Amino acid sequence: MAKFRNNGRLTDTQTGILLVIPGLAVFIAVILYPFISAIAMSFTDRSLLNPNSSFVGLDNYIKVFSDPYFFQTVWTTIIFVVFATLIPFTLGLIWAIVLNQGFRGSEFLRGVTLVNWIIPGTAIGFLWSWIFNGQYGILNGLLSALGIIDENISFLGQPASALICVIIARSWQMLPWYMAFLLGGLQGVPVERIEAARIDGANNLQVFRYIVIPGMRQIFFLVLILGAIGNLQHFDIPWTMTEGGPARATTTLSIEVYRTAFKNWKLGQAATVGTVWAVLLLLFSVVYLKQVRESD
Amino acid sequence: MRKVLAIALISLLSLSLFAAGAGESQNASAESGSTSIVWAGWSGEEEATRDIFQRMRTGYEEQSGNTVQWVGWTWADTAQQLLIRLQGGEQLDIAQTDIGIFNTVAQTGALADLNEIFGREWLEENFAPSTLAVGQIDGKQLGLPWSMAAITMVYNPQILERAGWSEVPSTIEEFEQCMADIAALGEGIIPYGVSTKDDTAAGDLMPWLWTFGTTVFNEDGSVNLGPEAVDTINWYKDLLAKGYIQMDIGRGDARQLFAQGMMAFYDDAVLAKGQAVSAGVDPAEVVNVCSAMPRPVLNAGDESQSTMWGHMLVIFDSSQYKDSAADFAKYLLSDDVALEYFEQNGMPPVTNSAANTEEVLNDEYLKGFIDATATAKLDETARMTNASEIKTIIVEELQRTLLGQTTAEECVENMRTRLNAAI
Amino acid sequence: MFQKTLAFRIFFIFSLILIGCFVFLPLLWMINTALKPADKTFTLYFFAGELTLENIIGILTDKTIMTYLKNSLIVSFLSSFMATLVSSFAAYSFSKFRYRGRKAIMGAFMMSQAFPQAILLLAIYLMMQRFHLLGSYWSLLISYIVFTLPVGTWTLKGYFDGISNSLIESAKIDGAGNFRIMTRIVFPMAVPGMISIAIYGFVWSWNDLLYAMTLVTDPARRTLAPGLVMTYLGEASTNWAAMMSASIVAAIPVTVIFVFLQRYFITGLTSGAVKE
Repeated sequence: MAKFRNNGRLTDTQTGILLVIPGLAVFIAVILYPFISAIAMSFTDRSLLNPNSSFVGLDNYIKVFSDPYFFQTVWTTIIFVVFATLIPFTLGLIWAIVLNQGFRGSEFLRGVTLVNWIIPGTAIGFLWSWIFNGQYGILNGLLSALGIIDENISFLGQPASALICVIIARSWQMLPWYMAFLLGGLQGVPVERIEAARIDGANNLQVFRYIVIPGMRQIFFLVLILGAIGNLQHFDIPWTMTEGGPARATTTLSIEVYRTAFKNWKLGQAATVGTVWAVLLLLFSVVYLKQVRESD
Repeated sequence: MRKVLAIALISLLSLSLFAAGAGESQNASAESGSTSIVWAGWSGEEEATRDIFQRMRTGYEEQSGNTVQWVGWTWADTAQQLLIRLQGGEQLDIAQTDIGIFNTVAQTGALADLNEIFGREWLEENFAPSTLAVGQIDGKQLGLPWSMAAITMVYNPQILERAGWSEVPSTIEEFEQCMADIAALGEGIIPYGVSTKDDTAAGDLMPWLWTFGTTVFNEDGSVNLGPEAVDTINWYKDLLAKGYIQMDIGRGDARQLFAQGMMAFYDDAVLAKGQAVSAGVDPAEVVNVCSAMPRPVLNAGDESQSTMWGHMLVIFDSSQYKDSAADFAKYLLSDDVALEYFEQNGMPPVTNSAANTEEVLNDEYLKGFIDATATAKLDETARMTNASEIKTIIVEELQRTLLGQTTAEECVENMRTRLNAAI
Repeated sequence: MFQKTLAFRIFFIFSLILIGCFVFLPLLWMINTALKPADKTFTLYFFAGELTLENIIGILTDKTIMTYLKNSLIVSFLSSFMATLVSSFAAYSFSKFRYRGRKAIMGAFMMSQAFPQAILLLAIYLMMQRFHLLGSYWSLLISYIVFTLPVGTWTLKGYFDGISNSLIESAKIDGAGNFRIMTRIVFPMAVPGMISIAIYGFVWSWNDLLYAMTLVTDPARRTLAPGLVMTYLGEASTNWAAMMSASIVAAIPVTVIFVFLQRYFITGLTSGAVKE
């Protein structure tokens, strides 16, 4: 058999391809086909109300870009994604450093921290909308019991604070995830290099700056990218807490897509928003990949 | 590692066999002699109604020999899930809908004309014309009324009593005075929980627009929003400034606060009592803390405004078992079943025979809702394909104004511009 | 890793308390709510007041909820396991082999993760229907594997990239085949990464609402997230206490597994590395 060499073994290339086949197969079947059909759908007036649709050219794109609120939505999305990624990332890193100290009970805390993340998103949305509720909210109750406020604050009723509240709730949900990944990264930092640096007289900050951060660079990148993408997709917490309001203040792209597709039934237009967002991301990831390549 | 892999593969294989086998057994049961119909909706999933829906199914199965397979989602997702299921062509025979869901599904053209299935005569014999009209679109009877009453205002008699009101306010002037008295109690009670969040904010605004003397749309479907719309919005702003209404209140929040005795008035349908009951109030005592009233009017003598609320049963045109589905619908509407549903969950029966029984007529809690039904109108978006989009526009512009970003005049103009673009 | 200087101690205590409060206080509030009687749900007391096990027992004796929990455990475990396996293969392939189309596939994996999943739903529903998978665990398993795959592949590729080629080369010289190298040398070194992915995949399946609600309508195979929402988030009322209780009850078995897994694998990893 000509295909086989190396004493009947597969060649490296063959092995490589064989290994990627299972993943690629499900990927093509379940994602790629729907993905391409969704892009095609963005040029039609496809609606959930009617299985038949017709080609409408760029109509949906014109509609999306001429919507006076579209850029506000993009901006809200950027704010949400940036802060809902950086806040839990920073807190997760600190939390990972704390738990990596190996004090008594730290292993238990590591496990228990993950609980936040396994509570269904809808329940988290309810929990935090209760905490921030302007009438019977826990935070208002606490603040007035401590005498800090006289009158309840409507946290979710004001545009700026509503967005902050949603970001906090999302950070609470995702902190364990960042913690878990970063803890793995911390444990991968070579101990010998730290010890060597210590001998050279490096202090904690220098060790962190010159050894830990470079050692974890790759995992930082990965976690931030995955976290950002997850936030871009994220939907259930803001939907449960505010349904995108007040006055669109918490309407991110994924809320807009959900509303367009599953409340207004306009699949074609929802696919357009999705395609625009995929293109934006493509630009973003080209920049990212270029940077990764340069650093290699 | 190799062992782990082997175990994994074996478990995968066995699971796949299991999953495949389970799928087949399900198909097999559908093919046996008697018919098996699929009933979709949401109440069969909710804790408060899960058991009675189960009893409805088994009751019918025992009586007819057919089987009823339940498919359910949350109330909020039912419209979307029905549409997805319809696009896929999975079996779907009969469904529970509310007025909004009914409208959405009817727009797809997937519903059967019940005049043909039940016969016009049977329908007219058993239902009042106004009730039937809710399920009629373009001369076709697409929805079969199941439970109907109005969405009107609900109040807490105990709070009003404390504020010195033994009777409910009947004009807006009295209403404002009543809210002032409630605020003056200093108990931290929110006088009026009109919705300022989510789709329900649009639903609550409409009857107030009607009360002030305008509508969102004209008869011909063009945008109306007369000068009274500005008055209505300004009135909302005034109530907000005085603290009588609040931001970030949706129907769920209002029910929650009302059940806690922290709210005096809000707008709701007959199922308002559900939250009070789940908060621990005895169902027989609900009327003491939760009563329906006519919406206050602008000038004494005006007609009080309210919107229609209801659950309907629909049968799908694609169903192969329309007769069984109709049979099942008749079973659900039969007096015994309908009255048990009323007794257990307070759902008002709609057939002439069940609605006129003593226990329904004498129900103190239900009375206010039924009284309002006589003059209740359909939500203005109830027949539109893009109802949710229209409501979103109304709510967003209303919120902008209440937040002080725009004036009432700008609010109405922005609504007009965006609504014109959307219709 | 860090010397216990005064500054570090202050940082440590400060972070422990602040982040600890942020993470655990809301969680304790949930437990607190689960333990309150129904008519006291919204009375703002924190453990100091009337407490009852009624809600918790109600959940534990509710057969429907327990079925949802069982289904969630089955689906989450299997999908997490399969996703980790498939991602490991693909990641190893991307990391250590060179062939045409490799970069394109990698890019496609990543991009797919970025497209709004709500839009893919309809197409996936129709596909599952065509293959008669609707209502079976498989419809969920397959979707969850695919949604974990991109993250899994990229993460594990990072781990595999860190394993030096010389190690693999020397194993080859010793006569080990590609699969032997993969299962005996490379995979054991990436166990922490695999655990992360397994947990990621697990939680993804555990929390998914939209796909689970759409693809599985048979209550006998329904998972917990849609089950809870359908049961307690009603048309007329929301049962907060039950929702919180159920979320907490459901979180307990998973937490126990996580705590256990972590200890087991971290020790397993260090001892394994020394032996190799």
